[in-house]
Amino acid sequence: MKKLIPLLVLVGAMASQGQDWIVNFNNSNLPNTTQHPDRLVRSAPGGPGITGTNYQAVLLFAAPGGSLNPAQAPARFRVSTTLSPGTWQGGDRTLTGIGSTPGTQVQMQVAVFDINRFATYAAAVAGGGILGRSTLFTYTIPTPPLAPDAADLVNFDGFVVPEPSVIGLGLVGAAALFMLRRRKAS
Amino acid sequence: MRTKTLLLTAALCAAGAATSMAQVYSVNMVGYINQAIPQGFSMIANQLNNSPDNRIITLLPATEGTRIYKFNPANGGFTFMQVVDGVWEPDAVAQTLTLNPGEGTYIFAPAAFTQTFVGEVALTSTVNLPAGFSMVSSALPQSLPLNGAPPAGLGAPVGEGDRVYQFNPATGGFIFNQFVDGAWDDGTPPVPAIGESFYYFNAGAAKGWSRTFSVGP
Repeated sequence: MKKLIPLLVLVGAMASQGQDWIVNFNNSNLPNTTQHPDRLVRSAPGGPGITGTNYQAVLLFAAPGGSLNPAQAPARFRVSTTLSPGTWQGGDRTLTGIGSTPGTQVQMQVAVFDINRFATYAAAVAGGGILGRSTLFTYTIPTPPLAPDAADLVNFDGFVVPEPSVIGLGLVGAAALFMLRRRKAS
Repeated sequence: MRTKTLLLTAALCAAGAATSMAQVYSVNMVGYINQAIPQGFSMIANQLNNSPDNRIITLLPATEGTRIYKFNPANGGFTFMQVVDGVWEPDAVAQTLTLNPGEGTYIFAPAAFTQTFVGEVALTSTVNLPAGFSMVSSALPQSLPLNGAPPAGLGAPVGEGDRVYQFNPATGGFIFNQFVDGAWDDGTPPVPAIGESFYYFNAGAAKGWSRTFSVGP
Protein backbone atom coordinates (compact mmCIF):
# COMPACT_ATOMS: atom_id res chain seq x y z
CA MET A 1 0.00 0.00 0.00
CA LYS A 2 1.25 3.42 -0.88
CA LYS A 3 1.30 6.03 1.82
CA LEU A 4 -0.14 9.36 0.97
CA ILE A 5 1.81 12.10 2.62
CA PRO A 6 0.01 15.43 2.85
CA LEU A 7 1.80 18.51 1.71
CA LEU A 8 4.00 20.34 4.14
CA VAL A 9 4.27 17.42 6.52
CA LEU A 10 7.50 17.54 8.41
CA VAL A 11 9.79 14.79 7.27
CA GLY A 12 12.82 15.88 9.19
CA ALA A 13 15.02 16.66 6.26
CA MET A 14 16.60 20.06 6.01
CA ALA A 15 16.99 22.20 2.96
CA SER A 16 20.53 23.12 2.16
CA GLN A 17 21.25 25.14 5.25
CA GLY A 18 23.75 27.95 5.29
CA GLN A 19 22.30 29.50 2.15
CA ASP A 20 19.70 32.18 2.30
CA TRP A 21 16.23 31.16 1.27
CA ILE A 22 14.72 32.39 -1.99
CA VAL A 23 11.06 33.26 -2.32
CA ASN A 24 8.90 33.85 -5.35
CA PHE A 25 8.04 37.55 -5.25
CA ASN A 26 4.86 37.64 -7.32
CA ASN A 27 1.18 38.11 -6.64
CA SER A 28 -0.20 37.04 -10.02
CA ASN A 29 0.32 33.40 -9.05
CA LEU A 30 -1.62 33.55 -5.78
CA PRO A 31 -5.12 32.08 -5.81
CA ASN A 32 -7.86 33.83 -3.88
CA THR A 33 -8.95 31.85 -0.86
CA THR A 34 -11.45 32.30 1.94
CA GLN A 35 -8.65 33.48 4.18
CA HIS A 36 -7.06 35.65 1.48
CA PRO A 37 -9.91 36.78 -0.78
CA ASP A 38 -7.99 39.45 -2.70
CA ARG A 39 -4.37 39.39 -3.82
CA LEU A 40 -4.34 42.46 -6.05
CA VAL A 41 -3.00 45.95 -5.51
CA ARG A 42 -5.92 48.23 -6.32
CA SER A 43 -6.41 51.95 -6.83
CA ALA A 44 -9.35 51.96 -4.42
CA PRO A 45 -11.11 49.34 -2.30
CA GLY A 46 -12.84 47.06 -4.78
CA GLY A 47 -11.52 49.20 -7.62
CA PRO A 48 -9.36 48.21 -10.56
CA GLY A 49 -5.87 46.83 -10.13
CA ILE A 50 -3.17 49.43 -10.61
CA THR A 51 -1.09 49.47 -13.76
CA GLY A 52 1.91 51.48 -14.90
CA THR A 53 5.54 50.54 -15.01
CA ASN A 54 6.39 53.58 -12.90
CA TYR A 55 4.86 51.83 -9.92
CA GLN A 56 7.40 49.65 -8.14
CA ALA A 57 6.72 46.94 -5.58
CA VAL A 58 9.34 46.23 -2.95
CA LEU A 59 9.47 43.13 -0.78
CA LEU A 60 10.38 43.93 2.81
CA PHE A 61 11.35 41.15 5.18
CA ALA A 62 12.55 40.69 8.72
CA ALA A 63 13.65 37.87 10.92
CA PRO A 64 11.55 37.44 14.08
CA GLY A 65 12.13 40.48 16.25
CA GLY A 66 14.12 42.25 13.56
CA SER A 67 13.28 45.27 11.47
CA LEU A 68 12.06 45.20 7.90
CA ASN A 69 14.65 45.41 5.14
CA PRO A 70 14.09 45.63 1.39
CA ALA A 71 14.97 42.59 -0.72
CA GLN A 72 17.14 43.23 -3.76
CA ALA A 73 15.51 45.01 -6.65
CA PRO A 74 11.96 46.36 -6.76
CA ALA A 75 9.54 44.89 -9.30
CA ARG A 76 7.56 47.01 -11.70
CA PHE A 77 3.83 46.85 -12.20
CA ARG A 78 2.51 46.08 -15.66
CA VAL A 79 1.60 48.11 -18.71
CA SER A 80 -1.90 49.55 -18.96
CA THR A 81 -2.97 46.94 -21.54
CA THR A 82 -2.13 44.01 -19.29
CA LEU A 83 -4.50 41.11 -18.74
CA SER A 84 -3.35 41.04 -15.12
CA PRO A 85 -3.84 44.50 -13.60
CA GLY A 86 -2.89 44.84 -9.97
CA THR A 87 0.09 42.53 -10.28
CA TRP A 88 3.78 43.22 -10.50
CA GLN A 89 6.41 41.53 -12.64
CA GLY A 90 8.51 39.93 -9.95
CA GLY A 91 10.77 36.94 -9.62
CA ASP A 92 13.16 35.33 -7.18
CA ARG A 93 14.17 37.36 -4.11
CA THR A 94 16.81 36.18 -1.67
CA LEU A 95 16.07 36.61 2.02
CA THR A 96 19.60 37.71 2.82
CA GLY A 97 20.66 36.92 6.36
CA ILE A 98 17.68 34.72 7.10
CA GLY A 99 19.24 31.37 6.29
CA SER A 100 17.17 28.42 5.14
CA THR A 101 16.28 26.47 8.23
CA PRO A 102 12.82 24.94 7.78
CA GLY A 103 10.26 26.39 10.12
CA THR A 104 11.89 29.83 10.31
CA GLN A 105 9.17 32.46 10.31
CA VAL A 106 9.83 35.62 8.36
CA GLN A 107 7.78 38.80 8.68
CA MET A 108 7.06 40.41 5.33
CA GLN A 109 5.41 43.42 3.79
CA VAL A 110 5.08 44.77 0.27
CA ALA A 111 5.46 48.51 -0.31
CA VAL A 112 4.80 50.51 -3.47
CA PHE A 113 6.43 53.71 -4.68
CA ASP A 114 6.57 55.70 -7.91
CA ILE A 115 9.97 55.52 -9.59
CA ASN A 116 9.20 58.66 -11.59
CA ARG A 117 9.23 60.57 -8.31
CA PHE A 118 11.86 58.63 -6.37
CA ALA A 119 14.71 56.68 -7.91
CA THR A 120 14.95 54.15 -5.10
CA TYR A 121 12.93 52.70 -2.28
CA ALA A 122 15.22 54.41 0.25
CA ALA A 123 14.64 57.78 -1.42
CA ALA A 124 10.90 57.16 -1.41
CA VAL A 125 10.96 56.38 2.31
CA ALA A 126 13.05 59.48 3.04
CA GLY A 127 10.81 61.65 0.91
CA GLY A 128 7.50 60.31 2.17
CA GLY A 129 6.86 58.70 -1.18
CA ILE A 130 5.57 55.29 -0.15
CA LEU A 131 2.15 55.12 -1.79
CA GLY A 132 0.86 52.06 -0.01
CA ARG A 133 1.85 49.08 2.09
CA SER A 134 0.36 45.66 2.56
CA THR A 135 -0.45 44.42 6.01
CA LEU A 136 2.38 42.50 7.63
CA PHE A 137 2.28 38.83 6.79
CA THR A 138 4.27 35.76 7.67
CA TYR A 139 6.22 33.43 5.45
CA THR A 140 7.52 30.15 6.86
CA ILE A 141 10.54 28.50 5.31
CA PRO A 142 9.19 25.09 4.26
CA THR A 143 10.39 21.59 4.89
CA PRO A 144 11.27 19.36 1.91
CA PRO A 145 9.88 17.89 -0.21
CA LEU A 146 8.60 21.22 -1.32
CA ALA A 147 5.00 21.65 -2.27
CA PRO A 148 4.54 23.62 -5.50
CA ASP A 149 3.64 26.82 -3.64
CA ALA A 150 6.36 26.44 -1.03
CA ALA A 151 8.23 29.55 -2.15
CA ASP A 152 5.10 31.63 -2.84
CA LEU A 153 3.97 34.46 -0.58
CA VAL A 154 0.82 32.56 0.30
CA ASN A 155 -0.20 34.87 3.16
CA PHE A 156 0.02 38.09 1.16
CA ASP A 157 -3.16 40.17 0.93
CA GLY A 158 -3.87 42.82 -1.63
CA PHE A 159 -3.97 46.48 -0.64
CA VAL A 160 -4.76 49.90 -2.00
CA VAL A 161 -2.44 52.33 -3.73
CA PRO A 162 -4.43 55.46 -4.60
CA GLU A 163 -3.77 56.73 -8.10
CA PRO A 164 -2.35 60.26 -8.40
CA SER A 165 -5.72 61.61 -9.52
CA VAL A 166 -7.32 60.19 -6.40
CA ILE A 167 -4.55 61.63 -4.25
CA GLY A 168 -4.96 64.96 -6.03
CA LEU A 169 -8.69 64.99 -5.43
CA GLY A 170 -8.08 64.17 -1.80
CA LEU A 171 -5.67 67.07 -1.46
CA VAL A 172 -8.13 69.44 -3.12
CA GLY A 173 -10.85 68.24 -0.78
CA ALA A 174 -8.65 68.67 2.27
CA ALA A 175 -7.65 72.16 1.14
CA ALA A 176 -11.30 73.07 0.58
CA LEU A 177 -12.21 71.82 4.04
CA PHE A 178 -9.35 73.80 5.55
CA MET A 179 -10.45 76.98 3.77
CA LEU A 180 -14.05 76.43 4.82
CA ARG A 181 -13.07 76.06 8.46
CA ARG A 182 -10.87 79.15 8.35
CA ARG A 183 -13.72 81.14 6.79
CA LYS A 184 -16.12 79.95 9.47
CA ALA A 185 -13.64 80.76 12.19
CA SER A 186 -13.18 84.29 10.91
CA MET B 1 -2.22 10.39 -16.51
CA ARG B 2 -2.76 8.76 -19.85
CA THR B 3 0.33 8.86 -21.89
CA LYS B 4 0.58 7.63 -25.40
CA THR B 5 3.99 7.06 -26.75
CA LEU B 6 5.11 6.39 -30.26
CA LEU B 7 8.75 5.96 -31.03
CA LEU B 8 9.86 5.94 -34.61
CA THR B 9 13.24 4.78 -35.74
CA ALA B 10 15.01 6.83 -38.39
CA ALA B 11 18.04 5.81 -40.40
CA LEU B 12 20.80 8.36 -40.42
CA CYS B 13 23.80 6.42 -41.62
CA ALA B 14 22.71 5.21 -45.01
CA ALA B 15 24.80 7.65 -47.01
CA GLY B 16 27.81 6.06 -48.54
CA ALA B 17 26.73 2.58 -47.61
CA ALA B 18 25.36 1.63 -51.00
CA THR B 19 28.30 -0.57 -51.81
CA SER B 20 28.17 -2.35 -48.52
CA MET B 21 26.30 -5.61 -48.24
CA ALA B 22 26.20 -5.29 -44.46
CA GLN B 23 22.90 -4.49 -42.80
CA VAL B 24 22.36 -0.83 -41.95
CA TYR B 25 20.78 0.17 -38.67
CA SER B 26 19.65 3.54 -37.50
CA VAL B 27 21.85 5.09 -34.88
CA ASN B 28 19.16 7.07 -33.17
CA MET B 29 15.53 7.01 -32.18
CA VAL B 30 13.17 9.89 -32.68
CA GLY B 31 9.53 10.17 -31.84
CA TYR B 32 6.97 11.99 -29.82
CA ILE B 33 5.10 11.69 -26.55
CA ASN B 34 1.54 12.92 -26.14
CA GLN B 35 1.24 13.75 -22.48
CA ALA B 36 -2.03 14.67 -20.81
CA ILE B 37 -1.36 17.48 -18.36
CA PRO B 38 -4.16 18.03 -15.85
CA GLN B 39 -5.50 21.34 -14.68
CA GLY B 40 -3.57 22.55 -11.64
CA PHE B 41 -0.23 21.31 -10.44
CA SER B 42 1.60 18.26 -11.70
CA MET B 43 5.20 17.07 -11.92
CA ILE B 44 6.28 16.59 -15.50
CA ALA B 45 9.33 15.49 -17.44
CA ASN B 46 10.56 15.87 -21.00
CA GLN B 47 12.14 12.58 -22.02
CA LEU B 48 13.15 13.49 -25.57
CA ASN B 49 15.91 15.80 -26.76
CA ASN B 50 14.05 18.49 -28.63
CA SER B 51 15.39 20.47 -31.58
CA PRO B 52 16.69 23.13 -31.43
CA ASP B 53 16.84 23.00 -27.63
CA ASN B 54 15.15 21.90 -24.43
CA ARG B 55 14.33 25.34 -23.09
CA ILE B 56 10.88 25.36 -21.54
CA ILE B 57 9.82 28.25 -23.75
CA THR B 58 10.65 26.04 -26.73
CA LEU B 59 8.86 23.00 -25.36
CA LEU B 60 5.66 24.43 -23.90
CA PRO B 61 3.01 26.75 -25.29
CA ALA B 62 2.77 30.22 -23.77
CA THR B 63 -0.70 29.69 -22.39
CA GLU B 64 -1.83 32.54 -20.17
CA GLY B 65 -1.53 31.63 -16.50
CA THR B 66 0.86 28.71 -16.98
CA ARG B 67 3.49 28.56 -14.23
CA ILE B 68 6.71 26.62 -13.85
CA TYR B 69 8.42 25.80 -10.56
CA LYS B 70 11.68 24.02 -11.24
CA PHE B 71 13.43 22.67 -8.16
CA ASN B 72 17.02 23.75 -7.67
CA PRO B 73 18.93 21.27 -5.50
CA ALA B 74 21.75 23.78 -5.06
CA ASN B 75 19.63 26.09 -2.92
CA GLY B 76 16.70 23.86 -2.08
CA GLY B 77 14.20 26.26 -3.64
CA PHE B 78 12.50 26.82 -6.97
CA THR B 79 13.24 28.73 -10.11
CA PHE B 80 9.95 30.28 -11.15
CA MET B 81 8.55 31.52 -14.44
CA GLN B 82 5.03 32.19 -15.66
CA VAL B 83 3.04 33.38 -18.66
CA VAL B 84 1.48 36.81 -18.26
CA ASP B 85 0.09 38.77 -21.19
CA GLY B 86 1.13 35.93 -23.48
CA VAL B 87 4.81 36.13 -22.60
CA TRP B 88 7.02 34.04 -20.33
CA GLU B 89 8.48 36.06 -17.46
CA PRO B 90 10.92 36.89 -15.99
CA ASP B 91 12.62 37.02 -19.37
CA ALA B 92 16.09 36.30 -18.01
CA VAL B 93 14.84 33.04 -16.52
CA ALA B 94 12.70 32.15 -19.51
CA GLN B 95 15.61 32.49 -21.91
CA THR B 96 17.69 29.92 -20.05
CA LEU B 97 15.52 27.53 -18.07
CA THR B 98 15.62 24.04 -19.56
CA LEU B 99 13.81 20.77 -19.07
CA ASN B 100 16.28 18.16 -20.25
CA PRO B 101 15.68 14.41 -20.22
CA GLY B 102 16.25 13.27 -16.64
CA GLU B 103 15.09 16.57 -15.13
CA GLY B 104 11.70 17.44 -13.73
CA THR B 105 9.55 20.40 -12.84
CA TYR B 106 6.24 21.36 -11.36
CA ILE B 107 3.86 22.88 -13.84
CA PHE B 108 0.66 24.73 -13.05
CA ALA B 109 -1.77 24.50 -15.96
CA PRO B 110 -4.81 26.80 -15.86
CA ALA B 111 -6.66 24.19 -17.92
CA ALA B 112 -5.96 20.60 -18.86
CA PHE B 113 -4.17 20.15 -22.15
CA THR B 114 -2.16 17.62 -24.12
CA GLN B 115 1.51 18.41 -24.44
CA THR B 116 3.40 16.84 -27.31
CA PHE B 117 7.10 16.38 -26.67
CA VAL B 118 9.06 15.71 -29.84
CA GLY B 119 12.68 14.72 -30.23
CA GLU B 120 15.38 12.16 -29.98
CA VAL B 121 15.83 9.53 -27.30
CA ALA B 122 19.02 10.05 -25.28
CA LEU B 123 20.81 6.78 -25.91
CA THR B 124 23.36 7.48 -23.22
CA SER B 125 22.46 9.56 -20.22
CA THR B 126 23.41 10.30 -16.64
CA VAL B 127 21.00 11.85 -14.19
CA ASN B 128 22.75 13.45 -11.24
CA LEU B 129 21.41 12.48 -7.84
CA PRO B 130 23.02 14.87 -5.36
CA ALA B 131 22.88 14.19 -1.65
CA GLY B 132 19.47 15.22 -0.36
CA PHE B 133 16.54 16.19 -2.51
CA SER B 134 16.39 16.56 -6.26
CA MET B 135 13.54 16.51 -8.78
CA VAL B 136 14.32 14.00 -11.49
CA SER B 137 12.86 11.64 -14.05
CA SER B 138 13.94 8.73 -16.14
CA ALA B 139 15.99 10.10 -19.02
CA LEU B 140 14.35 7.48 -21.24
CA PRO B 141 10.62 7.40 -21.97
CA GLN B 142 9.96 4.18 -20.12
CA SER B 143 7.59 3.29 -17.29
CA LEU B 144 9.33 0.53 -15.33
CA PRO B 145 10.28 -0.31 -11.74
CA LEU B 146 12.73 2.34 -10.59
CA ASN B 147 15.65 0.25 -9.50
CA GLY B 148 15.34 -2.94 -11.50
CA ALA B 149 18.18 -3.63 -13.89
CA PRO B 150 17.41 -2.67 -17.51
CA PRO B 151 15.66 -3.75 -19.62
CA ALA B 152 13.18 -4.85 -16.93
CA GLY B 153 13.75 -1.76 -14.79
CA LEU B 154 14.96 1.83 -14.98
CA GLY B 155 18.27 1.02 -13.33
CA ALA B 156 18.30 3.78 -10.72
CA PRO B 157 21.15 3.32 -8.22
CA VAL B 158 18.87 3.21 -5.20
CA GLY B 159 20.68 3.00 -1.87
CA GLU B 160 19.78 2.41 1.75
CA GLY B 161 17.60 5.19 3.12
CA ASP B 162 16.76 6.67 -0.28
CA ARG B 163 13.22 7.97 -0.68
CA VAL B 164 10.88 8.71 -3.56
CA TYR B 165 7.99 11.19 -3.48
CA GLN B 166 5.61 11.05 -6.43
CA PHE B 167 3.21 13.98 -6.66
CA ASN B 168 -0.47 13.13 -6.87
CA PRO B 169 -2.22 15.89 -8.84
CA ALA B 170 -5.64 14.65 -7.71
CA THR B 171 -4.94 15.11 -4.00
CA GLY B 172 -2.05 17.57 -4.02
CA GLY B 173 -0.12 15.17 -1.82
CA PHE B 174 2.76 12.79 -2.33
CA ILE B 175 2.95 9.05 -2.76
CA PHE B 176 5.89 8.08 -0.62
CA ASN B 177 8.15 5.08 -0.71
CA GLN B 178 11.53 4.44 0.91
CA PHE B 179 14.27 1.88 0.56
CA VAL B 180 15.11 0.43 3.97
CA ASP B 181 16.99 -2.73 4.82
CA GLY B 182 17.47 -3.40 1.15
CA ALA B 183 13.81 -3.33 0.20
CA TRP B 184 11.04 -0.87 -0.58
CA ASP B 185 8.73 -0.23 2.35
CA ASP B 186 5.73 -0.60 0.11
CA GLY B 187 6.86 -4.01 -1.06
CA THR B 188 7.22 -2.93 -4.66
CA PRO B 189 9.43 -0.27 -6.21
CA PRO B 190 8.01 3.00 -7.51
CA VAL B 191 7.00 2.89 -11.17
CA PRO B 192 7.02 6.45 -12.53
CA ALA B 193 4.80 7.02 -15.52
CA ILE B 194 6.18 8.21 -18.84
CA GLY B 195 6.47 11.96 -18.64
CA GLU B 196 6.40 11.99 -14.85
CA SER B 197 9.08 13.46 -12.62
CA PHE B 198 9.41 12.95 -8.88
CA TYR B 199 11.40 13.99 -5.85
CA TYR B 200 14.32 11.72 -5.11
CA PHE B 201 15.97 11.90 -1.70
CA ASN B 202 19.47 10.50 -1.80
CA ALA B 203 20.47 9.48 1.71
CA GLY B 204 24.10 8.93 0.73
CA ALA B 205 26.76 10.71 -1.25
CA ALA B 206 26.09 12.19 -4.68
CA LYS B 207 25.76 9.58 -7.39
CA GLY B 208 24.79 9.26 -11.02
CA TRP B 209 21.92 7.36 -12.61
CA SER B 210 23.40 6.23 -15.91
CA ARG B 211 21.65 4.53 -18.76
CA THR B 212 22.80 3.23 -22.11
CA PHE B 213 20.21 2.27 -24.67
CA SER B 214 21.23 0.35 -27.76
CA VAL B 215 19.65 0.55 -31.17
CA GLY B 216 19.92 -2.43 -33.47
CA PRO B 217 21.37 -5.85 -32.64
